[in-house]
Amino acid sequence: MSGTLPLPPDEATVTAYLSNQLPEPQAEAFEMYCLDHPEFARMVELDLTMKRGLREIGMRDLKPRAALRYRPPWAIAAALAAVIGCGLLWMWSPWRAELVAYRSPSEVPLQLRAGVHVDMTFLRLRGSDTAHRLVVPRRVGVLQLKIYPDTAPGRDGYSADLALDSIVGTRSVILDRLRTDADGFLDLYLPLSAVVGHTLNVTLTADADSSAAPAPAFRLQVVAATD
Amino acid sequence: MLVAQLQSGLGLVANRAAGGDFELAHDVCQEALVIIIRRLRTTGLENPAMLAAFAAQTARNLVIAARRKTQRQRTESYAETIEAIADPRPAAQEQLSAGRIAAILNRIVAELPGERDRTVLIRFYLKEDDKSDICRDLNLSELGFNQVVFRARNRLRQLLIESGFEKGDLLDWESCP
Repeated sequence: MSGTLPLPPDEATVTAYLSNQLPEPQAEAFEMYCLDHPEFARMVELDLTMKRGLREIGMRDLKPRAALRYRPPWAIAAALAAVIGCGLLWMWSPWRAELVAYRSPSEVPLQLRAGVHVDMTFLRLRGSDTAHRLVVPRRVGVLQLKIYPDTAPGRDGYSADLALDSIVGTRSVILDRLRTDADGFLDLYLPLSAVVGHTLNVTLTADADSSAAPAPAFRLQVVAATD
Repeated sequence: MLVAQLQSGLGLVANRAAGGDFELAHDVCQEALVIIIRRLRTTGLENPAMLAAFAAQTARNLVIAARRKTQRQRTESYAETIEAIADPRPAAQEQLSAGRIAAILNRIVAELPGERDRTVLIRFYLKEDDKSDICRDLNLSELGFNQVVFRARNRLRQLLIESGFEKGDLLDWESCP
């Protein structure tokens, strides 16, 4: 035992003690001082607790948090303007417009008919949904959906719910009073520009007794070859 | 009174002797206090001025005894089995207390007025960087450094006591409710 220290150990000594860097005789003298001076010992305990606690939290959690850093007012104003701008852009974007679908070729506008024509045939598998991926050569043109319903039509024929999913929401349109052609298929037409890059969900119901059979659900992901 | 005087110092002695094993240090600290009180109530000390030295040596002897006991209990044939069964994580109560201490420190760190204070604490307590290096890197005076540490330490003390750690029980993490 090397006896007690005459004076309170300085900060460097405390730090060295807490880091186990004091030579044994000095460490023992330090501890003797702590035993003789409870208040000082409590302060060292707090430091030790601080070290242990910070170690518990871990280095990863204590890295500077970018979100809490100071941001100059102009940066905040710029960010705010960008958010408002994006909102306005979205409000005026075509995505806000309603989805348009046509029941017959004669309804399809001329400019769409001048573009490419892509057709997709859906055959309902009883009790199960189907999913497809369609690659189209261009964005300008028309997509023809040929759907074969295997349930009897209702009094008013069939009703088709067409919905487009995207990260900003869902656009949908319901076409009712649909009748099959002589070949048993229902034909629907959509602008390619509206569906490219999105997933189209088609649900067909016999509107008069829609509870009689499960609604056929088709899912079609449309991408452009140039994407 | 005797406990309040010796507990913090004994905790430090036991902690260092136990190589940072807080659980062992806690047990040793309690056992040492019991031995000291019994001794004082029976034969007493020849030289009462040597109480601190007696307390420190008792704590160190208890750590050595605990280590020997552990060594004796460890047999070759069962060592692997015991290691496989034993959960290496701290006891649940200690984990709970450690979690609460960590939560308190998280709060203290979050309350710090700026990134610089935060860096001071992390570098000083966690990375164990030299004080003069920290002051130089952060363009901080010694007084400023001391103020940061002083404020954090006082806040820690306050929050620990508010959280149920009795004064003088700060190393005794298991004592919190």
